[in-house]
Amino acid sequence: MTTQATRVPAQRDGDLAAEGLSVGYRSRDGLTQVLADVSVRLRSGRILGLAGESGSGKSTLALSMLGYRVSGQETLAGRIDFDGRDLDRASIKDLRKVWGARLAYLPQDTATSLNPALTIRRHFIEGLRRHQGLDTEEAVRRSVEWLGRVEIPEPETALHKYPHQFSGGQQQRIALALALSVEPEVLILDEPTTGLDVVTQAHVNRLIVALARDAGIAALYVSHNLALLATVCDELAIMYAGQIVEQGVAAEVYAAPRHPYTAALIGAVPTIASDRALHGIPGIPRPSVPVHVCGFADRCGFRTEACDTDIPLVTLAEVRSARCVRLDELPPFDPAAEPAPATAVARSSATVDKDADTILTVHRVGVVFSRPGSGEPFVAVDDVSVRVPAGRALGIAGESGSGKSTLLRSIAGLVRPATGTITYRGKELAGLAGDRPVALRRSIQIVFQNPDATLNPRHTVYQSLERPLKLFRPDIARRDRRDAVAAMMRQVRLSPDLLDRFPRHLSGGQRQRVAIGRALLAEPEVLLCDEVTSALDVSVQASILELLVGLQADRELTVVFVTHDLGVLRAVADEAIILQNGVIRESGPTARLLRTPQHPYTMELIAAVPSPERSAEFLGGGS
Amino acid sequence: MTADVLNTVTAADVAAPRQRRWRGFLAIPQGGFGVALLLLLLLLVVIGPFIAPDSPNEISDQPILGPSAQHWLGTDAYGRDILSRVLHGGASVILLPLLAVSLAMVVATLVGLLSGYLGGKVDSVVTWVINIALAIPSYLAVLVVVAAFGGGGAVVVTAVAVVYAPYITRVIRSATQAIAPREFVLAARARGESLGWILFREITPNIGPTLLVEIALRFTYAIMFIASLSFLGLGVQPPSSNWGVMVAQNRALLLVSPVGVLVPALLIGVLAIAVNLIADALTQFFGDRIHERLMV
Repeated sequence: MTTQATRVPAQRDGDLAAEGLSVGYRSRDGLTQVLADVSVRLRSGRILGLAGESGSGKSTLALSMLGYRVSGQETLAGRIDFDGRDLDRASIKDLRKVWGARLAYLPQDTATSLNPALTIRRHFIEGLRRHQGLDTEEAVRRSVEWLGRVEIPEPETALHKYPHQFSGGQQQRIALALALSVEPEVLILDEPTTGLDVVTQAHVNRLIVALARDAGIAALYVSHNLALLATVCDELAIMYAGQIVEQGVAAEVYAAPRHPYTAALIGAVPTIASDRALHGIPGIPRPSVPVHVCGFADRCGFRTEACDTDIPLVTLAEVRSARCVRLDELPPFDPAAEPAPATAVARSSATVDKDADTILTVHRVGVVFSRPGSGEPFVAVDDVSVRVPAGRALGIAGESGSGKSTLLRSIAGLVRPATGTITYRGKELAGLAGDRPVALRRSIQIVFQNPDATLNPRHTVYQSLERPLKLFRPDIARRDRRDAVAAMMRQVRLSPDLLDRFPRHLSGGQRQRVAIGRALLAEPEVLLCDEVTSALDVSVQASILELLVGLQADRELTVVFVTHDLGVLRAVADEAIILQNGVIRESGPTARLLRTPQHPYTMELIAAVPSPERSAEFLGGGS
Repeated sequence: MTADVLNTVTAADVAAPRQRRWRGFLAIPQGGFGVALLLLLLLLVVIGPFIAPDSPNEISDQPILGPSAQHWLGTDAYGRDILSRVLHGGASVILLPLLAVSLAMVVATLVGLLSGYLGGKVDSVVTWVINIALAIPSYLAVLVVVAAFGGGGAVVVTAVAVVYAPYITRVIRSATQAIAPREFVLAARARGESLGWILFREITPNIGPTLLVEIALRFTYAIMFIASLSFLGLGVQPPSSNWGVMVAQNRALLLVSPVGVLVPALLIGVLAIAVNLIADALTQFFGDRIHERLMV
């Protein structure tokens, strides 16, 4: 693999560039600008990573670069340069000639890129015949070759199957092969591995990088996962509120960010490598392009009056620029810096108290689901035994289908175990929550994954929060409930002004805070968390994790935290369990388990975590 | 830190709830038109009996008259004033279907919620019963019931409710199944909430739109169905001035004095159209709202 520094960026045919692009959406409420003065150039054989939180405009930019416009979208300034032509003003007829032939697009969801009613063969032949002018025989030969390159087993047989007969990772690899088989010059990837499991994700990413570099493709890789981008990309552009706030060689940007937002974003990414503290970014992202002020100003710790102006992008080196007026005054980035030590998420093995009491014992629990249609029952959790020490955080990690959520739900009394027992302080728990005495139900509370579904959309925030008080807290008089609820809102760092709002008026992070508040109002001893941050942006995830760890310490809560993200596991859990196919593969103190894994599966999981520090190792792992 | 976040995330940052309930609904053309038509008909039905010039069953010695100053819509074969009969006859046309649909709705909601939420054996039995019930043609079922118990309002209402309940149950059941596995319902189960709370406070508000659309749609069908039954002589019995009965009785005079058939038939049609328009508008209204919620 070529090192990044030796490649000299040069303009040539096949480069795709946005030049000073400004884009807005027109709606009934007027024009909302979503991209402002964006210039990026995709160069042959190089991958540009585009990072940003939801709503930053990264997907709009990716689609705009293809010349694709959604209804209501208007280009306010700038152009999309491809071979000296402006794609933004190209006719649909001209665009059809380049789409899929010279410009390829790989979306996140294969449900949008693969047609469930067509065989894989039909998918390939259509593009190859149209764009490459091949006859069917030649097209089939080429398809088999490409399926082989993306490591689909038995390519000849695979051609005659339908998309649903493949796993999610295989589908995305087929979509990748499909995009690359027509030998495009440019490849736009929009969160191509976001929905996949870590190990699969690593595999697909290795293929993307290897094949794109091999074919000399100019690629744009859009993702919210900064660590992943820094690992797989050559260059990195950070977007915020429709502007590029920093751009440069990936490894340099990640190791030494210059813009406060980039630094904050890196500080929010959980990592398995160190005990580095995790910090959320206060506030919420601005939904549109800022006018006469720095877009990040209202969330920035370094704001001064100088920030209240339009901020230009300052060129620092040949491929390095940042959009900040205080670049020379800011302290150099220090990942260990702790702006708020009291709440920052910092765990170290030293804090683990060896003789903590066991509060919850899971003894040889098995959960079996019957599968309608087939007689064979599905074993989700297989003979699992766990001891949860009081006042500590236990993490359960694994891929989808590992049974981690099912295990948690059986503790919560939502799934009845087929075998085994769960005891709480020596008392055996009934299989279903409804059969447990009130005191036990109160002591064990659960928070769920999906911020869109965790609160009843028809209940106000207050109605949702008042319920546990009614059920579990007879000590709080009816007239004092509103005060108790408002106090809890402040504890989860929300304004009590939101109490009479409905969940649809809240952001995902705010809803998750309400859900945590609802669980805590019962004054539980054990808090079960089921992937509570996996649907959130990194900055929001970090602040929710900060909140949880802070609350856990303040209230001496016992937390059982289920996650698929080993970085998150490292950030919250004192001890961890690795689950695979319903079986415990390894357990122990989190730091030790991640540093010196014993089980091959744990090693495989760790190797699949993107890490900018060992980028070459990550990319070389599979090929 | 705390103060920081409290200052940055306040109510002002969040879009205020939109007050668009009634006004938004009426702004949909079908909604505004449907509601206006329905109100007009209701007005006719409510104040009709008070402004009617004659009693509906008063027989005069002037049968089969065309429209005149004395009898605006003429008289029927028995010399009864058609206008007075029309003004009196609307109540049962609206009331009987309303009763039938309400009855079906209550039963169907209960069964649908239970079957959709509990699943398992309860659901299997309910689905089985529904499938059988749906296989029996509606008219045939009602004909058999009426043949066994005789005609009349109470029998027809019960029969129609029984025939419609399985259809509604099926809709409620699938709406419930979509809501039941959602996490707020799981949270309620983990809190140990009662079955009643989960069904009526957690799930029902979320299937409200489906419920309303279904009520409106079934109401349209029931109006036509009961009017048809009355026309066939199986529903409301003469000498009632129910519009369906009027159409049936005056149909012999269709060529001589068409007003006696046309006016009640037209009114039934307009009523059905009004309710149908409202059902249409409700679908659109909630469709938009659901869409909006997903866009957040």
